[in-house]
Amino acid sequence: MKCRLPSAAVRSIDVLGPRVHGIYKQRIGAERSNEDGRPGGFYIPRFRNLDEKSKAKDFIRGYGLEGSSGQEMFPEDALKLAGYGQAYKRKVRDHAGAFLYMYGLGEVLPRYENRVELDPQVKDAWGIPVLRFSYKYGDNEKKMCADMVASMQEAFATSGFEITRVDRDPLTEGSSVHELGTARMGDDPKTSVLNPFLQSHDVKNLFVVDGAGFVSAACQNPTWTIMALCWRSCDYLAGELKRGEL
Amino acid sequence: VSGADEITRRQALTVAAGAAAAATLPDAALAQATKPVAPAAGKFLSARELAILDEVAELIIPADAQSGGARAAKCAEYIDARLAESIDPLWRQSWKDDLAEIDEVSTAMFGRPLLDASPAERQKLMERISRNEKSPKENVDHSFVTIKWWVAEAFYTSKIGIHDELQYQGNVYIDEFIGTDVSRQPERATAPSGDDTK
Repeated sequence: MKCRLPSAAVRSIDVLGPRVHGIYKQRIGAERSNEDGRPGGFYIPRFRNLDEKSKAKDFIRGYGLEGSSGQEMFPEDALKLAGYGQAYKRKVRDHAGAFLYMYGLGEVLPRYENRVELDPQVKDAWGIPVLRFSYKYGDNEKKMCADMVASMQEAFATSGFEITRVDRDPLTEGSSVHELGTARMGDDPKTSVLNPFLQSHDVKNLFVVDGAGFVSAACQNPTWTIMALCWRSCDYLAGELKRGEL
Repeated sequence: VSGADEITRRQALTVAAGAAAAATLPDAALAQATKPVAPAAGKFLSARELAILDEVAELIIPADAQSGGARAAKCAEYIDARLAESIDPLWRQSWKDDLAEIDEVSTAMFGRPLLDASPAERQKLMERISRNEKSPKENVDHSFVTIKWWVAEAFYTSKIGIHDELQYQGNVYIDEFIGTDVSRQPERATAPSGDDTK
């Protein structure tokens, strides 16, 4: 079966970006209480580049901010605080109900250089070529990450949280678990693998109805969009079958 | 168990010396803190490696008046069990290397391995291996970061860590949802019994 995958795949994933940790001082050492069901986890939807007022100076697209706080079963600060011994243990205890952390999830722009191919040389134990990934963040992602940090610092300061740690770097390329792309959709068979109905340009009875058809990842969790696209694709598939086109 | 893996009389005396230092602890915590290092081999680690891990774990999260420490929570046994079930030979070997690294640093500093070092020397060793925790450089820096991460993970997911240490109140039936009205304090819920899975 002829397939364009090795030559035209572009991969795009959202960037799980910088992270800021903070402490609400008034809550340090607070008495324990049951905080189940309280809104400790939160999500701040995208607010950059929605209109002229929110336009960023040096990058396009946007990001959301996600985080958590409160007395959860596992004390987040246990893995963040430095030190050991009694002082460390006491600090984890005192911070257990006072911490808040936030991180950014932003869109990675599709780049032609970001791709997955069949390795021309390396094969697995069964003689099947392994996948070869080429993937790097670009300038837009780096500038977006800097803006994430500035936004989070502003949110912490305005809310009265003391910032205890700032991780400025995005996670390593590929470590996010929202893998999308590799068989991008498009009108032009020369630059895409699937048509807008997720049907292969080359093999008409092949439909790829997962996240592979995405040309970009946006900054939101992709499952609902995958389901919507799959639904649309299936409608089209049913119609084509009835017409005897497949 | 090889000769090198057996707990020496000197090590036993060192543990006893630690018991004297911990005399201010409550009885239950004291009993756990002074429990002799188990001489048996683990599911993956040798007896000696397990004893080193057990000791380092207790130095990272010691018993105190609030709760037992990493030893009482059986953090070393938990990590050993995770290693035993791992299918990643590189990760498993890295733990042997990390524990050996700590012993080597101890020997370089005091002329004797960790389990033969005095309580004061063990504290100095901890200062040494944790000094670059925020930006690890040497092998032993990475060893400390790895061990601490796993000890914290093991301890704060144990019954002792969740209930005795942090007094976690959640994961119980809620008769009334009080929302965010902080002026109304709920009665203390009874902590669920169980989680003896460690």
